Amino acid sequence: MAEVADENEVVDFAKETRVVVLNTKTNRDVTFKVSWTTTLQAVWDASYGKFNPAEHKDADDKFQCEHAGADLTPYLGLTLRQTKEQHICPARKYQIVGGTGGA
Amino acid sequence: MANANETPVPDPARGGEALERDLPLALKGRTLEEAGWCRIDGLTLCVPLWSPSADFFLLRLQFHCYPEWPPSAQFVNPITKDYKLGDDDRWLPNIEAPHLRVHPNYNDQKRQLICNSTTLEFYDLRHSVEARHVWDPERHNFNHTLFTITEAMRLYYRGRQG
Repeated sequence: MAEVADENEVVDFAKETRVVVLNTKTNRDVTFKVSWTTTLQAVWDASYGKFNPAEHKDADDKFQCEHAGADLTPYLGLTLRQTKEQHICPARKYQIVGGTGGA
Repeated sequence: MANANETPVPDPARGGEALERDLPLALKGRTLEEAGWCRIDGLTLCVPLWSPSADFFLLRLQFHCYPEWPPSAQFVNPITKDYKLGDDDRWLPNIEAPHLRVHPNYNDQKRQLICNSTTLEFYDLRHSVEARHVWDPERHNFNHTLFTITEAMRLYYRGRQG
C-alpha cells in the first residue's frame, strides 16, 4: 500500500503528532502521540513498552519506514520535525523488524 | 520458549487454538478470501506469494507444534498442496538471503528446509542457531515467519529452482 502523506498538512510544531509503530514479529501495532522534537530513536525505544511486558529490543532489531521497508538507521538522530521537513517517512508509520538466523 | 537442542513435540489441540487466536492479527481485518489465503484444515494455512518478477509460489504453514515452536513452513506444489522431492523443485524459489535459503533436500535427508529460525523444520533438523534468534512464543507469532519469508523473497529472489 502506498504511503499517504499530505504535503499540504498544516502542522503546529508546538503540539504533538501521532506515530504508528508495527511490530512485524507479531503484526501488532501501537499508536501514540509524541512531540515534534522527539527523535526517531526515541520513538523506536518508547514503542517497545507499549506492546506487551515481554517485549524488548533485540540487538539486531531494525527500525524501518512501513512504506517499502526503507531503513531508518541513518536518520535515527533526527527529530520528527526534521524528518517531516526532509520528507523522510512522512506518514510517520514505522515498523520494527527482528533479526533471524539461518541460510 | 523453543530450545534448540530439543525435538519439537506436536500438540495439535494447542496449535489449533493458537492459530485461531493469531489469525485475526495476521489478517488485519481481512477475511481469508480477501487475503487470498486458504485454510485446508484446522492446522494448515496456504499463503500465495509472488516474487518481484511475479513468479507465483504457494507457502504452506502448519501449526502442529505451535505456538511453543514456529509453524512448519514449506513451499508446495499449488495443485497437490504438498512437496515431493524431485517432482516439485520448480515450485521452490531460489532465495539467496544471508539469513534464509530454501534447500530442496537438506543434508540429503529428503526434506525441504526453508533455512531460517522462524520455521519448525529449522529446529527439527537441528540446525545451529544463535540464542537471540531462537523462537520465543511470548514475543513471536506466525507473522514473524510470514514476514521474514516474504521480505527475503522481495529482496533476495533469484528465480525458480528446478
